[in-house]
Amino acid sequence: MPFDKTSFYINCLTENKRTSKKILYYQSGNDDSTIKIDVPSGYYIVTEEYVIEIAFDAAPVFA
Amino acid sequence: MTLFEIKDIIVERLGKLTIDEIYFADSRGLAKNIFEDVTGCKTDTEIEAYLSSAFNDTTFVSKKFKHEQIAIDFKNSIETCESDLKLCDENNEAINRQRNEALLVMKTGHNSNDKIKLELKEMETELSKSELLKNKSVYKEQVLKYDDRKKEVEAIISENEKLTAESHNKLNPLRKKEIANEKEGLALRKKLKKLKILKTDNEKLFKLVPVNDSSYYTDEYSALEFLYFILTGFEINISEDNTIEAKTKPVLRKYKVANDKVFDFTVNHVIYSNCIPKGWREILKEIILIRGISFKGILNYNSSKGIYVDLNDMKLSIMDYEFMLALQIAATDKLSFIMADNKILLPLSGGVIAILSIRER
Repeated sequence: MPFDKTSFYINCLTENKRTSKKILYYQSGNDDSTIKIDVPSGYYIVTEEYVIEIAFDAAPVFA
Repeated sequence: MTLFEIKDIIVERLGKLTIDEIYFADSRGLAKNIFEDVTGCKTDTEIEAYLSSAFNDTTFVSKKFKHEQIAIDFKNSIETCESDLKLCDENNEAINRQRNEALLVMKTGHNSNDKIKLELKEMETELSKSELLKNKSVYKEQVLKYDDRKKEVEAIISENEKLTAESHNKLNPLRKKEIANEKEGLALRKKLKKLKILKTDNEKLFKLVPVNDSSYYTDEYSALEFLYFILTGFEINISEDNTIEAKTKPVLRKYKVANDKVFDFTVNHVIYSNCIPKGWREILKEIILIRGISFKGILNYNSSKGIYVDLNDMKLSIMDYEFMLALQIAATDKLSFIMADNKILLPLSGGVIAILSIRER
């Protein structure tokens, strides 16, 4: 079955949450040293037969 | 060499890979080399010609079908022939009965006539005797008696003759019918004999075909299917009227040509529930960059209910586009890692990684 490009669409991953905060960096021993970043909770690219799931996470940051 | 043997060689040399594994291991080139070794066909057109000639020559399915059809036809025609012959025999019997009856009538007619004539003759001799005796009164009486009897006898004779003539008239057409019937019966017998010989010939021919009964056809057909698919990218089908058709399918040839066909390939030919198709970067780039603008927007996915809820007011935000752009750039030139669970780890800028997994819906 040929792939109909107009038929695919994106879904937000998690329930009612457009974005989620991921911890990018924290320093132990200090209360306010956590740095969080906003990332989309994820995408599903959905077609009639196929699903590409894209999830996001924080990459390790080396000081 | 049969197609099945060629297929066997290819599969054996490739280490018993399945057709899909040959595809994904990109062993088509290897398969082609082996095919070239065996048959001497180098180019795609030569391979196609070889396969299609085998395909036209063997017509596996139709061959089998033909044998069966011929056998059925023979059976039917033999049955009709036998029933015709039976009918013919019955007709013959009926004609014979009628003839016998007619002959009996003629015979009895002749016999009774003879008897009566004899009686008449005796009477005549008696009459002549009494004439010699000159006994007028007795003679007169006898003459009267004789005349009466003669009249009666003549009537009987004429009636008998009439009957015998009728029977005689009947005999001729009956004889004609009998002759025609006999001819027909003879022809039918000849035909039956010929049909029986042909039937046994057909059965012998069917048995002469190599390998046990019908597995030959199925094996050869599966080999043809395999070779067509592996070497040319065609799929073959048996249509309803038992002819084989080759159908083109967009496979690797197109995959190499145009990126927008890649997804066709993955959609049509990736059979595993979770796998990474070759060219996933192209798929991602194309979908995100070129088609990203035409996305319908964000749909909220309620996983607890397992349904998609359309929220039209949720458009793609700037962040969505940012991440799409980042994904597109990453798909173009960033390093990626494929993890053990068939997920792709793709680093984006800004300390974020994208984890991609592609699966069947």
